[in-house]
Amino acid sequence: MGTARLGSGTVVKLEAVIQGETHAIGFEPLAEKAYRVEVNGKGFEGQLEALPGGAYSLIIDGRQQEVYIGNGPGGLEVEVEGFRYPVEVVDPRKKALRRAGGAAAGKVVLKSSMPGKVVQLLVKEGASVEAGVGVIVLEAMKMQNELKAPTAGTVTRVHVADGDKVEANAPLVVIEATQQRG
Amino acid sequence: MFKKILVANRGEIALRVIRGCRELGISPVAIYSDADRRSIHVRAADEARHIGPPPSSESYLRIDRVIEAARASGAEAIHPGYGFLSENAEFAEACERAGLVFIGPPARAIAALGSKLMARRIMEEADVPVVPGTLEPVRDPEEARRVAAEVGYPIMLKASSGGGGKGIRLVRDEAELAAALRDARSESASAFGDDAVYIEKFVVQPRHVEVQILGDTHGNYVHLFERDCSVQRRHQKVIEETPCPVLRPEVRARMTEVAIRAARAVGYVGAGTVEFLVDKDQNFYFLEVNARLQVEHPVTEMVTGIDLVKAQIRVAAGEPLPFRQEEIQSTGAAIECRIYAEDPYAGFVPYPGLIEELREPAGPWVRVDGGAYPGWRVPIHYDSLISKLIVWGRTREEAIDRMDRALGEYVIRPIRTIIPFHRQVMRDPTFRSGQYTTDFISSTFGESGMTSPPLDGRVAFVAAALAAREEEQRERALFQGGNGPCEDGRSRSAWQTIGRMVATRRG
Repeated sequence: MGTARLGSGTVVKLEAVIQGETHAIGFEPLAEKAYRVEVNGKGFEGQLEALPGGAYSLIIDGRQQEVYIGNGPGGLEVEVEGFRYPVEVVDPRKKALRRAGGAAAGKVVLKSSMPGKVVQLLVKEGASVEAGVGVIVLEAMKMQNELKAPTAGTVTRVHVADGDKVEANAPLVVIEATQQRG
Repeated sequence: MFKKILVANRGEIALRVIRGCRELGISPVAIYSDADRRSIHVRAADEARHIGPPPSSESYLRIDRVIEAARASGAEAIHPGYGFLSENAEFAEACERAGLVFIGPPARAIAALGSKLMARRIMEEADVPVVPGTLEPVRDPEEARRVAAEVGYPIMLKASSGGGGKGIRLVRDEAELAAALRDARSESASAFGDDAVYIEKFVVQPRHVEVQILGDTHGNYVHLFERDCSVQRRHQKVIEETPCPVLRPEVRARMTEVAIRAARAVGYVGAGTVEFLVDKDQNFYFLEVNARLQVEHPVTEMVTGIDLVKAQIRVAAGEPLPFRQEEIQSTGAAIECRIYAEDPYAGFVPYPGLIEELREPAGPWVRVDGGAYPGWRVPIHYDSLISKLIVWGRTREEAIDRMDRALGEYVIRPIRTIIPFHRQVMRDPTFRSGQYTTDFISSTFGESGMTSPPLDGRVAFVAAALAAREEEQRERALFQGGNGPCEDGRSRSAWQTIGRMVATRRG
């Protein structure tokens, strides 16, 4: 993550993409559990308690909010008041490097979120896929579920075959994205 | 009164029955498969008998093993819960032969009601209005075509031995009929071992309203009013409430009277539910009788103050009902949200796994009927219902707001549940208005599920938490001294990392 000296503190700078919007975030720890946070140019001062299990209770300008951060099969997720928001955290320096270097393909590994069985593979190695297209059908807990390609690209690797039993978080299919992200 | 009852079920309903036993001073015996040794219902029981490997067909559905467990423990009665063997006439008979009391209706009533076709015929004869359709299973696609044309599309194909949403197909026109009949038949055969399918007129945009009845062995019958269970997904109930928010008083009076007539017609004993479809003009049609305690029984308990499990046990012990119809009142409103371990953001895909954190809601008039605890693993072998959240309010609006509040307190992690979906429904104007029908979920949320409300001002909190977490992780990496990748992707030695951090660390 990008860091810089600012006054007496170390400021963490990052970008977070939430609900389709990119937010520029700066975070400077002050005294014990107190901090200054800047979001898209607006600054706040607040206090933070890290709770067991990945949750935080934050007080900013007198308002309290609990935020839980966890990992889903698709990446980082944030939970606020029970509602879930996938989050993409971007290091602005890596992004700049990528832009300078030209379009770089990203690799996406489709994983099973739970133990189950492969009912049907809908793609073969080498196939090109659109985002949202069905890639593989899994069965678990007496129900079938079709996993879809999260991005457009090419199927570079298929790790399973019809009828295989899979564990949770087992890699199933690898898609090389053809679009630049970020 | 019994001294010992074997609870032939698992999960939340087994715990519910165990609680009823405890309040009556009856010793509860649990049964468990290999997957359920650590389940809450085992931990809550006085005795526990192992009955087989995880698959239900080799454990909870094994009549011989359940009877044997009851015999070995000296239980005098068996409470079957819901699902599993609760509506299995063969099981009820096996209990009788073994000298055990089956806590439920007599085997012949179960058999009569278990065949949806026979039930329809019995009800027709008792002057109970039924949905237009066939009283016999359809023999072939030709007959199906003829009947469907007579009854008028759209029609429903339904498995005669069906339940839980299986073996049901909606057919919009004749072109869809042949394939739908094939599918319904094969699904029914594999789920229930019987491919008999019948035709019913599809009531457009119906509400699903059911009446709770209780009958004792002395010929007394009472009803405990109705429940609206129209909030369904793929024919599976998700949210239930009482009273039905739109039912006119005279319709309620007629419906409950018809329900009692239906119970009498089959000589029902115990707790049962008569299900109806209600169309937009509040005409109601008999659908079926569920010859068991239902998942959603708590909402009825909340508004009447009557414990249905204890009532079942008392009736089975030969006691007459301790109340008359006039003494049964429904006060206020109650709502139940079923907490399924499914991801509502990903088309409700099941999400079994280890529960690490669990915080149940509490406060005024909040009830949680659950089987989960931190450190418990949701098994993959059974359905994904892990608990039910029920609230009562003096008015429906209060109940809805209370449910929203309680849902906000309910934390189950890291597995996914449909808690956020329920919150979305509580805030939905159609649901709040009470003017919803059985297509509410599909028309409001579609097949893919839900999306979260905008964060707006809360982004600042999320931003701060994300940044704090990043900082924490960097600190952890530093002090653990591991070889972590640096920004340009090359590995660095711990010494190099510490050196760099010391140079930039705050003074």
